[in-house]
Amino acid sequence: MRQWISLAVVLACAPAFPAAPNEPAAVGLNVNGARSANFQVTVDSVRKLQLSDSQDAFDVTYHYAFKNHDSLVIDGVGLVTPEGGFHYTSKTPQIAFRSAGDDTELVKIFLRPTDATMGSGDAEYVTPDLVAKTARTGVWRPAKTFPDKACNLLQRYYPQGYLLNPDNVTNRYSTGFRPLAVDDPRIRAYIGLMIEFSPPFAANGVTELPFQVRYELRERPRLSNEYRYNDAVSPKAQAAGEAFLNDVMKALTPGK
Amino acid sequence: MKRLTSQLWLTGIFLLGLILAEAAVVIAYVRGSIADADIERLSTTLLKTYAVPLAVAIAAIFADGPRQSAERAIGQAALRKMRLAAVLAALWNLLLLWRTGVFLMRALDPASENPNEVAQLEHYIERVAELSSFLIAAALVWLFGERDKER
Repeated sequence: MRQWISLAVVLACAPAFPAAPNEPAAVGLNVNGARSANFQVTVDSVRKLQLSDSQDAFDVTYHYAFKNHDSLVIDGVGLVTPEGGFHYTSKTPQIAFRSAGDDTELVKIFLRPTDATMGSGDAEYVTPDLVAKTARTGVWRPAKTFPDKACNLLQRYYPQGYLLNPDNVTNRYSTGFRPLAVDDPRIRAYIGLMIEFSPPFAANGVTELPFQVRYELRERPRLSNEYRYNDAVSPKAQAAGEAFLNDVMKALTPGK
Repeated sequence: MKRLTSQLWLTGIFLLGLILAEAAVVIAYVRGSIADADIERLSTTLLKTYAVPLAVAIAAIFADGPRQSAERAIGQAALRKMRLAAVLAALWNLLLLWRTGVFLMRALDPASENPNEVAQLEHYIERVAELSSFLIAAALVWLFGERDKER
């Protein structure tokens, strides 16, 4: 009898607990979108991935529009225009929009997967500890259009996507690896990029944004998975990497 | 056929197999199809695989030393056994060499692309050599075991 009473109590209490502890409850939180008189955020798709270090990540596509703002800040992305959209991979299951002037949070959107992912993913992105010591630097103006420009550029060269990988002081967009056209049939060379810039949170009036493009260059013989990295790659692979970086920097030059 | 000659034949089969397989690896390396670490990895695997049969074969030759048995002709029955042992040993080598040959052809073909080729070849050699070890049992027994029976 006592067991039956216990079972009845457990069943009666079950609906009070969320189905998945990591997912936000729908009531009172903005899940995959939000709308008010002054803004609208719509999340088009969310896919849960697993990175090569077994961390969970979210491949997200969304668009947004905010009235009464000249610019705003999206956590991990940086200073952006008040209307636009992005497609990237993020380690955090949320998108936070902040006022560019006083850093107050305007709205936070929690992400819930919309598409089922087949397989484990195992996506590999450039990490800060493996990039080459040298970097290309540039200055973009106006600052608020840089994320849009950089993200579009990365999407073009790396259709498989890129990862937002920020820390407390620096925003980072890390890509995977794309093959380089090397004039040597014996080797296969690849390059991955990491665009870094400090988030201009005190952003009202900021017009210029200094940024740097770091890279990881790697090559391997045709039948091997033994990689050589950065300075150790062959001169032909280095030349191909330089040519690719020149194209990237040219595209990230204002007015080009 | 003298006993020493039969031993040299069996030893030669294993030695030739090792030389051909190693040559394929060296050619792949010289052509730039594999990396420095790969040639070390594959050479180590090949030497490890051939170490036991070659050690037994060479030891058997020198174990006879100055004895008369090495110069003595072997009988018809023993000769047939020796031929069977040689065929089985050759089969064991062919099992390893055909895959090494495929590796060499891929190394020479600029259009061929497989980053796991070295790992796959290494795995094949290790597994097949281990599972087909019964094929070289006859040769190893012949090299040592037949000596006393022929006296």
